[in-house]
Amino acid sequence: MNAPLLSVRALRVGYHRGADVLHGVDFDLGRGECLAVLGESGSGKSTIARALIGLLPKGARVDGDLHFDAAPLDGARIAAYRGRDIAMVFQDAAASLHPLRRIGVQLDEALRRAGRTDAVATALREVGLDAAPALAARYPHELSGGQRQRVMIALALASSPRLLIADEVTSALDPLAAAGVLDLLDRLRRERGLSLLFISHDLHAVRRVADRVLLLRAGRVDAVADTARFFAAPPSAAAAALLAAARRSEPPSAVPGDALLHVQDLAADYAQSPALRDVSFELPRGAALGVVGASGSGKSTLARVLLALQRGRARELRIAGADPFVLRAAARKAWRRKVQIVFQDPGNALDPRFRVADSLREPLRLHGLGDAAAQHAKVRDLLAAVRLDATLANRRPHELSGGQKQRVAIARALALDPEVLVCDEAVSALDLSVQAEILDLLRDLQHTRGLTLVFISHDLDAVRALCDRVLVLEHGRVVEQGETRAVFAQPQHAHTRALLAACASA
Amino acid sequence: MIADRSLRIAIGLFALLVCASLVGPWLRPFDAWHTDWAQLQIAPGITHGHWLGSDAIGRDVFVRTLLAGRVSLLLGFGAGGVALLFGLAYGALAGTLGGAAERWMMRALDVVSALPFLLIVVLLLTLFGRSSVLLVLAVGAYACIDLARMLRAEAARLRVLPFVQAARALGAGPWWLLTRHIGPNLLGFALVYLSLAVPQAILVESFLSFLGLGLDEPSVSLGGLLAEGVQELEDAPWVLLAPATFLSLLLVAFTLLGDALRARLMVRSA
Repeated sequence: MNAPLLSVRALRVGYHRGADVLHGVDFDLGRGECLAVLGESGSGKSTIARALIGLLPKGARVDGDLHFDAAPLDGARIAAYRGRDIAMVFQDAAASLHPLRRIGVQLDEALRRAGRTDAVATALREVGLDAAPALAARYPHELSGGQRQRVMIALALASSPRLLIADEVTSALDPLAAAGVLDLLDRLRRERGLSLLFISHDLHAVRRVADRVLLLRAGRVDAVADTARFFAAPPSAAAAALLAAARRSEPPSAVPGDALLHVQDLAADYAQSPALRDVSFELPRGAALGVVGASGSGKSTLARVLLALQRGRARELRIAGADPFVLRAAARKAWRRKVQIVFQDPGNALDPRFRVADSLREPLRLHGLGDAAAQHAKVRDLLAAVRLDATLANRRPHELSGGQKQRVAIARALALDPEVLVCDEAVSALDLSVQAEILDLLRDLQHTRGLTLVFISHDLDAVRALCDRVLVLEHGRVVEQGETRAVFAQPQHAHTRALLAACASA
Repeated sequence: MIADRSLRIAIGLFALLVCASLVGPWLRPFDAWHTDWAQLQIAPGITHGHWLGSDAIGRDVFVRTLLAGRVSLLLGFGAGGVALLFGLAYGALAGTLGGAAERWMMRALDVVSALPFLLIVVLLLTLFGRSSVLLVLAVGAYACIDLARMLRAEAARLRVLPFVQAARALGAGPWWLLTRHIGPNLLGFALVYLSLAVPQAILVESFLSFLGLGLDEPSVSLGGLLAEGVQELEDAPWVLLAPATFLSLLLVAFTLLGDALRARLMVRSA
């Protein structure tokens, strides 16, 4: 093989007063090769990408020896290459597209700027989108997440780049859409000989597309290895830990008991259109139910209805002994002590103005439980229960990590000693190793407190590890349910098989 | 960094104008109604003592401008305060309640804002006399409509955030959500909006005074001075220029302050 397309030596990046983010990173990227950059948030993955296309914030110090196509890559040349030979696709396609212009117009503009005369239809077809004029006439908000990401890729390809940097392009997509985008990237690489720098924290995605894997840890290269070898024999301790976090243990077996959740023919709407139809299931006390499905399948609506945060209509509904929709205000408030929820977004899980102790005392105050001293004692107990240090009680949310915030949110949900805990994508926004810790914590709480869990997730691995029963939703209807092991081993419905196929590359 | 610098400039300019309007008039031996018969319509200068000149009946423009600035600032902050109080209460309540209550409250606001504001103010001022309290209430009520709308939207955004939903799931009713979560989290937003509402109130009040609908003599605000200045524009332009410059600087200071505050307080995603 001749000289690599991209060669990076001793790349150091720092922001004005702060410490360096990258401490001398070296790597090569061959022509037509896909190199994955793995690492937790804050390890410097995106900084590499931004340094390569010269989009670091003002005042950043960049130092190092970069070569693209055997020519040195300095500030002026980076600007010349950006959007031509080097293109980039970001995680948030919705924010990267002009919201008020039809995608056909945006694509046409990009093609013309690159001096190409191809029709928009050709460009759309190349990224696996319907070439019919109807699609090109849509606005970004009228597309699905996967479609938007494909449009972004088509825009990036307009200038016929030789290097495509993909920064977390699948992280915001549900597994089906993500699998489609990954297949597309793989195909483009083969057909166009495109070099791909694939930045991700998703091991499945990396395994699927990358030739080599570079593990970044705290701004340094921790390990580089061929993908097969990386997964078969982790080259470093950090790599081994990462893989171990992904490979979770088997779920606990169900505790037999009475049905704590009894739902028959439940229907609910979201924004005036039907979101749930004919949903029926039962869940015994102490069991864990996984609810899976693509984005928009009604998972979160189900969570909100189970919590009576949103109205639902059911032929029969018994949640922790009552139908919340027939209860009067005082009785419903009492009922709420039995059913609690943890949401996805740790960034907004806690009131930014509340200290941790205030957030944890809020449920106790709401229900008038105990005096101040008793409440503070309870706060200490709760922090211990979610394995957080008692000194965190005086912190505010912005002083906590995502995982810590999520633990506080769980502690707050536990403050009233609920019987049912609903987790709506409660770990999806967290780093892999933190996810594993939170799942471990949930499993532990389930055993020690006899909690009944409803675990909503698009991460089938997490569901497999935690839940003894699983329910598959598609377009608001239950297409399959049963014991997790049985459903995952022998999926009956086509949608379940598609979900499993999208997630399993292992 | 940029926000820091413009915040410093804004605060500096603002402090300068406020201090000048508070302290400035005492620097000169004249009061606002002192008539210097010997120096009618004299041009600005140092030697004769009228730094910014005098008007047609010999009153000192420097002192009158700063005193009028004081009045305008007071009326502006008064009206801004009224707007903040009612706008915050109304908008936050509507946004917290959501559903049909929210829709009806906002429709009611639409109806009020469709009324011809100026006509109503003229009517009120004619019926009840031109009092400063009435002026503050009227201008405040006008500004409060926009404030309520914006705070309603922000409250509705907060309402669906996980920490508010979690509080609902814990058993919190609307009052609890309003007073513990949504209201306090709106304050920063309201403060930024206040930096827009106060200059707007100053401007509206100046406009009314310019039309002769403002305060009764002898109180005078910047708008009243502008009206007088226009009368003398050909003979003594400084009578118009001094209050116009003061008003412009005041509005610039508020705009900078609002921008800097917005950059500082409303960082949504870091």
